[in-house]
Amino acid sequence: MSTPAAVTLSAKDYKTELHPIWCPGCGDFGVLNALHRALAAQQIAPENLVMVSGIGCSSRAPHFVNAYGFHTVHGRALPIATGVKEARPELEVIAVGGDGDFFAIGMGHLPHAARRNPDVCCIIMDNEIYGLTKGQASPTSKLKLVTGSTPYELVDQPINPIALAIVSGATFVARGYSGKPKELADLIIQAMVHKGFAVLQVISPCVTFHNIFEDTKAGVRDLAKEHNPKDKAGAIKLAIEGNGMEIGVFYKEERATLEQGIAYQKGKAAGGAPSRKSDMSELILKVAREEAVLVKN
Amino acid sequence: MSLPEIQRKQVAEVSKLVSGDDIRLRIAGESGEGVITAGDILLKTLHKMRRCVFTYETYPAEVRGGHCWYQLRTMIPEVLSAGDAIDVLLAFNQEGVDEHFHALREGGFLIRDAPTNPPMDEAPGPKQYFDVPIPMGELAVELGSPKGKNVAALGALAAAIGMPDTTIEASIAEVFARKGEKVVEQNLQVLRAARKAYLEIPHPPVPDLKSGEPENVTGYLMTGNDAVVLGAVAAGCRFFAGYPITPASPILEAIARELPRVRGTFIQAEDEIAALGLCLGASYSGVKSMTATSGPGFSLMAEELGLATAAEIPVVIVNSQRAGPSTGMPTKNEQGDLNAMVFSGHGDAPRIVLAATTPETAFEMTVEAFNLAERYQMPVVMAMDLSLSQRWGVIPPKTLEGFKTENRKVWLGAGGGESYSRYKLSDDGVSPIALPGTKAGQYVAEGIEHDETGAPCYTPDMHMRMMAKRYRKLELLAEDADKYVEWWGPEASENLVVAWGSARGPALEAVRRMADKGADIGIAVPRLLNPLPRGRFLRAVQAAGEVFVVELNFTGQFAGLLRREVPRTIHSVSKADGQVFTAHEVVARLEKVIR
Repeated sequence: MSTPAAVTLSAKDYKTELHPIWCPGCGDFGVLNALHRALAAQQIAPENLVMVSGIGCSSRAPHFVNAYGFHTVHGRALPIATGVKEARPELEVIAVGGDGDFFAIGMGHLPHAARRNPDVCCIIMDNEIYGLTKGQASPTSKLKLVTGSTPYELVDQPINPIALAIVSGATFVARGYSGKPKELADLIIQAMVHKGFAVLQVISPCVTFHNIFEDTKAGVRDLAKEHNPKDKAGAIKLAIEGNGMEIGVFYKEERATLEQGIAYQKGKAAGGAPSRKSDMSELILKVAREEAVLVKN
Repeated sequence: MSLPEIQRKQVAEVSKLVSGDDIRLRIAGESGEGVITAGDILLKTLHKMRRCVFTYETYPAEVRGGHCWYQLRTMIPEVLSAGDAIDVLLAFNQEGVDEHFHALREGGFLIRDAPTNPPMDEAPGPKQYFDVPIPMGELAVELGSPKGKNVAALGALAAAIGMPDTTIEASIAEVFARKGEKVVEQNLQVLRAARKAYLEIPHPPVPDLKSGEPENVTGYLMTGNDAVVLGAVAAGCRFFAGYPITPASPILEAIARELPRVRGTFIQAEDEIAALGLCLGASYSGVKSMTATSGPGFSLMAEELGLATAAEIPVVIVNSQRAGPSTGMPTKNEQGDLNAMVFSGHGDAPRIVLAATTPETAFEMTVEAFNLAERYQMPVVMAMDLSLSQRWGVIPPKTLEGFKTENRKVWLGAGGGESYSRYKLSDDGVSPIALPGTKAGQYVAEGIEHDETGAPCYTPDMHMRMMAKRYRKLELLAEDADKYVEWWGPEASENLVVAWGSARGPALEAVRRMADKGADIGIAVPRLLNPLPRGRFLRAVQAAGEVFVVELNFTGQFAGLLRREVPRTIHSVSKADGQVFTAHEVVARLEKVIR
């Protein structure tokens, strides 16, 4: 974790001058609000926080947080966030985006981030629709939904984000709701504090193209208190049998992070001769110069 | 022709072989029979003899099985290409005999495994050659080394061309050392037995293969791919992410082994999109990063290449080209990705494209790629190709000591309390970058068009200014690019040949041959392909009587780029058959115009 800021920061200090582009009433305001609170609660130094996003309404979030940011291309937040974390493990890294980013175009990266387990917090604002492109079906849209791209009803089964994250190897998997920013802030804190890849799916309804606020408000409930987040099979069962509106931590395990794994490899490399000796193995040490390296690790 | 007659002819040929100092050897066989190992042993032996060597390998795409061959050309002075007709063909099987006999020169040696037959088809006219059947496989089996057919072949070859016994034996000991003493001893026995077998049959006098002078070849023997790895580490690369692809995988494997030894980070990505993404994240954070790929992977990187341009992130992408399009011919050579390297992706997205020409320049150009990426805060593509990646070369110690490195302009913090603007407009298009961790430097790196602070901005004026900012970098580089062009020949020649990448060797050899015969001809080899070097290079292209571009692709891509810049007639000397050019081919094509 990064060093705390020198002065006490409030949620307000994590806001920026830019006003979100989101529609009035968008669920993403609630997520942003919760994020500001979570950062203040942890006193994260803004200069040590990097927020990486893809493309979509929710991926604009880095502009609204007082932190370093990288607004990348559609779907690629996870590899880029992993690159930041592995290059500079001392930084706090959050990847943000929507269901399109993480479950459609960038789906190929999610299981790999999960199995590598970088200490990255991944916040997925799930509105079950493509909002920025004005309303097409997304990978989490429910069957039979009529949208601009599904005029004769959606026939593709939605994916199950929680079950997917667990079976892929994510070490912290939770679901939150934008309409409950206080509880959401608490989940964000847990996800950030967790050492490893944390997936936080946030139900964040779109008021303009797929307004499910009323249904969500009526449907959300806390995960059963007796659920033990260390019980992987139990967590998967809950994810499969639930209705997608249970809020809380589904799964949590302690496993070596990618940073630890890479540090281990560097230790092995430094400790012994390379497995395949060549002229190059000696030359490498000769040509490596300190002054050519910007950031020392 | 009777055997004595052939042998008499051989005496003359052998003396030519050795005194000419230009020997071309080709080893052909089934993949898995040790063709590549045999080639590497010869390479090491010739290197120990301080002779220059040019290597060229071709192998099938199958994991095991399929026909492959390895060509070595050795001279005492510099050797520029794999050569034309071969002097000695070492055939491990019938296919090796039949497929390559056409390439054997008049009076050459055919050393073949004894159960094979001489070539069936000698049409159009009988070719005189010295036929050396040696029971290579049988000998190896008898001596308890069933995989030793290749070493038996080397024994016969070494005896035929007069390679010193101790030198080749030392190379064998080196190559097999990690398999243990017993294996080394078995292989040496096979080598000696085959040598004896050759000397026992009637043969031309064994020549004494000359060694070079000590100052002739000093340096480190390595492949083009290894030179890239060394160059990257020298330049300060401490982060690499990549996805396996032929022929760039050896870069990935070597850097996976070496980078952690200098506290660098290696990640094998799930695809090439992730590979470049990982690199962009690392470089954004301040760690110099590189990925290496080939055509199909490079195509996948197109969108993020544009991101690197827009967000102004330094990054190096090595593209070891192979024959396309699509999967194409993964194990065959081509320089067909030039247009993709210069133009791929949407919008006007400037990037720098460099091209190595030899393993030595692969080191230098990799260092340069990092320096330019850092100086201009933009992506740099370093072009290699299959032949250059696999080719062995000698890197002189001075190259490994004399390089210079550059670091990006970094924003160090607010001295007077002024606010930071990541994309501040400047005369040279470059603005200092704040690295995460720097107080008051918080900004968002953007792929969306943005204002100076990085905030999204779509005004016509700002888009035009930011476009100009990004292109300004290329303009400055183009104006200061004379050092990226290699020249040979008169200051201003009537005929100017232009070649890039691995085509340099055969083109230069062809130009020298033609100049020797009196042609008014010179050659320019740019190692900076985008932007095109202004100054002397483009002036010469404008001024020459005739201009030719030698390159390995179907449409003459570099000729096309040149025509955009210099509207004039440019002859394209291009081919795309998966093989490298020979100097002979280039001469024949040039002579169609130059009489």
